[in-house]
Amino acid sequence: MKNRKNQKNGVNLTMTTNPLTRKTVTRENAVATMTTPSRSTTKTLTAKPAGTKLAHTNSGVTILKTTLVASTIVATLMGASLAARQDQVVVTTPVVTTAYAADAAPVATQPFAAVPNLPTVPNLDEAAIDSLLNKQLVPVPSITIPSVTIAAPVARSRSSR
Amino acid sequence: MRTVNNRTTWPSHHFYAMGGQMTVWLELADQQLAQTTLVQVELFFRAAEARLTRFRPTSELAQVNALSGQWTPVSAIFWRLLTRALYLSEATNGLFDPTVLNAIEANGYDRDFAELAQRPLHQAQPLLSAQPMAERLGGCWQAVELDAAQHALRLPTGVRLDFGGIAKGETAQQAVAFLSQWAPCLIDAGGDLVAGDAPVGQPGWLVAIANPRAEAESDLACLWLKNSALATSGIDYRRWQQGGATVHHLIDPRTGTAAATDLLTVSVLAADATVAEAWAKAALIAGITTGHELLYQRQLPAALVDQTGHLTITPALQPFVQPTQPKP
Repeated sequence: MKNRKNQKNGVNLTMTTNPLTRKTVTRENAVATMTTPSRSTTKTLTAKPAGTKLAHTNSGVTILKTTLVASTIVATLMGASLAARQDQVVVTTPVVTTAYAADAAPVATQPFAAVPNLPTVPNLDEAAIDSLLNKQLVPVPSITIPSVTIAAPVARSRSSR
Repeated sequence: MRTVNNRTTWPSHHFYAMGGQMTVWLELADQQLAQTTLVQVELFFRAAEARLTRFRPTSELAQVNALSGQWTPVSAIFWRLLTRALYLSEATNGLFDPTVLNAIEANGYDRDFAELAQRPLHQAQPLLSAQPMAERLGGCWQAVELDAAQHALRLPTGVRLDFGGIAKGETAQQAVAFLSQWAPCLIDAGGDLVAGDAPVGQPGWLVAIANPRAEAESDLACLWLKNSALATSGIDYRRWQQGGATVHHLIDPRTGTAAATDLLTVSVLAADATVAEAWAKAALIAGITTGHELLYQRQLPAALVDQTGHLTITPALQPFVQPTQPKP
């Protein structure tokens, strides 16, 4: 245990903003910006006086084209966004270093203070419970699984519900 | 053994028992067999609850408590849980103590929490016993007398037992042992997770330690759970108003009152659910400094969240933690 002091103090984890969320917001902003000009064009046409029918028709075609182009861009961006989300859900299991196995050598259990009444009880099954209490858990060697999809945890541990 | 193809869905069964929401997953391709087996688990939980609850006067626990001061024979299940609880009291130097029921009720927790939560201004009933307060409120685990040959116990007069979370943990542990004869399984016993073998093709059951300060689903850490248990003890949920103050259900046996701790939750990973539950509770009562030290000395994998939301994990938990964020 070279780094015993740090280990003793534990490791502090800092929660960070989900990059997936941040990326999605950026894309949605971009979509909103693209649609704004077509709304503006419609407003301008409505404000024009009567008698400019031909100009309206030409403008209408322009609006249609603009809308079609804008819609295509929006659809493309939405598709890209969905694809990006699907990509981001897939995660490969990280490799767990095998160094832990060497560090996790069992430590002798601290002797407990004598208890007045318990020594008179012969079958507390202390050996079995001792064995259970001192059983060292071994990290799951995820290295044996080349690629595992992490969708979401099956369950969450929390205080009693 | 046949297994389902979809790795993220397994036959499951939900039910409410022992004061909490239970969910059981079993990796069996035969849906009908899976459902039949899962229902048996629910029946097992209900039978255990009927025996171990403190909220029914007909339960074995209530009858034992009513006979404090007298030698009382108990069932094999009760005996197993009792001896386990006393052993864990010794291991935690009394921070975990099954003799604090009087103190729990003195704090207002004298009915099922679902009912208690609907009456936030509930006033506790006065204690009726004439025994000295120091004896009745807890810290009496060393005074419980046992007769191993008869599977009998004698509680000091006025002292009453409550197994709390370890009753739920022990029942879940037994249920996993039963289900493991059939297939890989996972039980969520009201927030305490107990896993059997890993699902086929996966290193374990992917579970998370929930963030106690987040309103929506949010995780502090993910890990693969296999043939082990992850229990969380906390004061973030079971709280209520008592005499104008907010109190919670975790009693400090040293004082007989709700623990004055700087921790919000403690999650412990262990081979057995009762061990995980007892140490999570002991560390929470001890507070961040002593609690972390206790867990560190015993090389227990654990995550501690203090009341400001700061997360500390023990070195033993580090190898188990999986990233909760996707890789870029």
